[in-house]
Amino acid sequence: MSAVEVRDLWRSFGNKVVLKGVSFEVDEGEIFGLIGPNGAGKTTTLRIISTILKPDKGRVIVWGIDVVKEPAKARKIISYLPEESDVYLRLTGYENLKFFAMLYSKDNKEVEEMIEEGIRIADLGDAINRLTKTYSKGMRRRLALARTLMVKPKLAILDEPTSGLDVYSSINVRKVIKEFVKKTGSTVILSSHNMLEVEYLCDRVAFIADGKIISVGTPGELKEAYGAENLEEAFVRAVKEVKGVGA
Amino acid sequence: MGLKPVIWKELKDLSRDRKTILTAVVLPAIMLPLMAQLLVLAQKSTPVRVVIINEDKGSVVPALLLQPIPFLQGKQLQRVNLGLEVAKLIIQSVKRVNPSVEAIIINGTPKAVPNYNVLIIIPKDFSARLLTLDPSSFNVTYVEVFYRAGPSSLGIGVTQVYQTVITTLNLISKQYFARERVSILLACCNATKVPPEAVLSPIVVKTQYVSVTGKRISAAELGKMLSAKLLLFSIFYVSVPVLAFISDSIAGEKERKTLETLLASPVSRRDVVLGKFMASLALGILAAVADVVGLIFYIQTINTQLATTAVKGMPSFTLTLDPRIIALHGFVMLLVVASTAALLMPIVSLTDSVRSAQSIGGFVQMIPLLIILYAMYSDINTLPLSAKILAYAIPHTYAVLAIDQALKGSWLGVAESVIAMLIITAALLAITVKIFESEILITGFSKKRKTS
Repeated sequence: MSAVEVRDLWRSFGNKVVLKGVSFEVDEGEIFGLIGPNGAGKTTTLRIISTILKPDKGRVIVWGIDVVKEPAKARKIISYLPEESDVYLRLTGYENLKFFAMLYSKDNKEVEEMIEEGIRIADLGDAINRLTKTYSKGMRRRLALARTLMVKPKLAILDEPTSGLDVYSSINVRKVIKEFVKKTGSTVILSSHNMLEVEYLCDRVAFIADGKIISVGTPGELKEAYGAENLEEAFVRAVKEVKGVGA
Repeated sequence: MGLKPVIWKELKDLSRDRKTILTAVVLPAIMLPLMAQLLVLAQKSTPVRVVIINEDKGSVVPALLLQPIPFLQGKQLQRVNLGLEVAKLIIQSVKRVNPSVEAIIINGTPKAVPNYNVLIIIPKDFSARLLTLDPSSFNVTYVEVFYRAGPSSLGIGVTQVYQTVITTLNLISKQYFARERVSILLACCNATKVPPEAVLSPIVVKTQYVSVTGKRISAAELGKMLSAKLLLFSIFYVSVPVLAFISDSIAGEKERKTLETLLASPVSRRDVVLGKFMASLALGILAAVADVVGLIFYIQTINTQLATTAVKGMPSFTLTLDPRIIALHGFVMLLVVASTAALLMPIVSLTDSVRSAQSIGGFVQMIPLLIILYAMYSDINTLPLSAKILAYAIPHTYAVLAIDQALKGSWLGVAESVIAMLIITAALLAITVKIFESEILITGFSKKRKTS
């Protein structure tokens, strides 16, 4: 059984159909990348998986739980990092972690364990006790990522986790994600525009354009399938084949 | 763990939000006392200059004639300058109202009138006309009073002094000279047993204040009721910080994109709403306490430092500090904060930014204010049906009714109003939970929101 099954998702906003039958599967312990141009339907897909939105049609099963029918149950095993999601600026880094630890844990012992893990992932040193409004953007993103991963979700959903970060911060975030999966065996679905990042992180990748999945495979398989030297080239060719537009 | 972490987070966040705390606690506590002090300053520190030009040449009258007039008693047969005595009386009255008044009397006709705010000119024949014993010579005498208009003279101090001068002159005219002349005229008609009042005031109006239950009440008790009405203004005061908090707590989370993370977590939407609501209650308690403290200082300052009566002996209303009303006020203000938060939450939930939340929320807050203003001057039950239906759908109306019921002594009525307020608050919270459980919170009404 796959960890995540996305079956024939349709979703529209007003007259605009954003998802047109999106389907894919994600295996347990896998880092799965969702790649597509702006407006392709990445964020809508991730929002549906994370129970924020409901599909017009189709379903998402996460470890046997239908996220549309049983969202409360699904939320216990999912942790979601939205694109450009910030942290609570009037709380310290520690307090930010504590708040989410309290939401996900059953008792104080578990809260402490989660915070400890969060501090380790964020790796902010003494700054963890400072108000986050004094943090740089990179520090805040690391804290947000730590908040998402410290609860050890069965499925972590990361929407453009390195968006807007400088090179060093991006490298750090990628390293954290890779180590997290290696250590916990959790499953990750992430979206990104950075092909180097996707190639470095993802076991398998789905290309999405105009609300449809156009190709799924490992980075190697996709490069081979489109006769490309790198994933970026493969992506551009895949989108051109379907839509005749560039990425 | 569900509700507790949300309350914990909101309170932590709130405790570091200095602007909201300042608006909620410091402003209500200091604004009303400051207003009172400003009123006192406006009255007492404005330099008021009163100039009395007494052109009266005086008149020779027998002491017997002077006996009935209190301020002329003891004067012997001599030339009496009535203008001067009246001028002294005027100065006494204005000094009682405002001790800092600078008053001068100029006897005779000066070449140039000195600078003044209020000028009184007593005519040359003042004594002669008022002290005549011959009824056939009775006539009116004109005292001119000038109020110098202009930006610097429109202060409360000048107005009060001007009114005091007028009141004092009217009092002297009616109580002393009118009575005296009527006595002389009655004597001419051999009607010495007829009291002068029977001629001066053949109709005497006797006033009596009664409560809504028909019980006679004193002017002090009426003052208490007016004070309670005044307290209704606090409904607006304590509501302002609630809007700031709710806007930041809901629309702010949307803006910072922390809301999606929260909604995707295991905490129930109901707990998210209740957590934010409970935190707003904490803010409300602070605001209500600060407001009550501010009001107490306001009323004390007004009552002790601001002269409210021009002439000693005249009736006046004073604001009254009744512990029961103040306690009820504090309790009702807490309920007001709760219902304001509940009223704003569904509206703010539908906005995309703190700015739009505060704009729309500010507009919504004006509706309770209109009700309060109406309640200041009339009974809510007298509203036209359509307006009454709207009024009864707003929880703040029941705050007004609760205070009204308390003044009537109907504690059952107070309980009914409080229960109605709680029911509407609960209903509004239920609507907010529904919004939080729906996608509107994320997508808004324009479902064409851009997604990638």
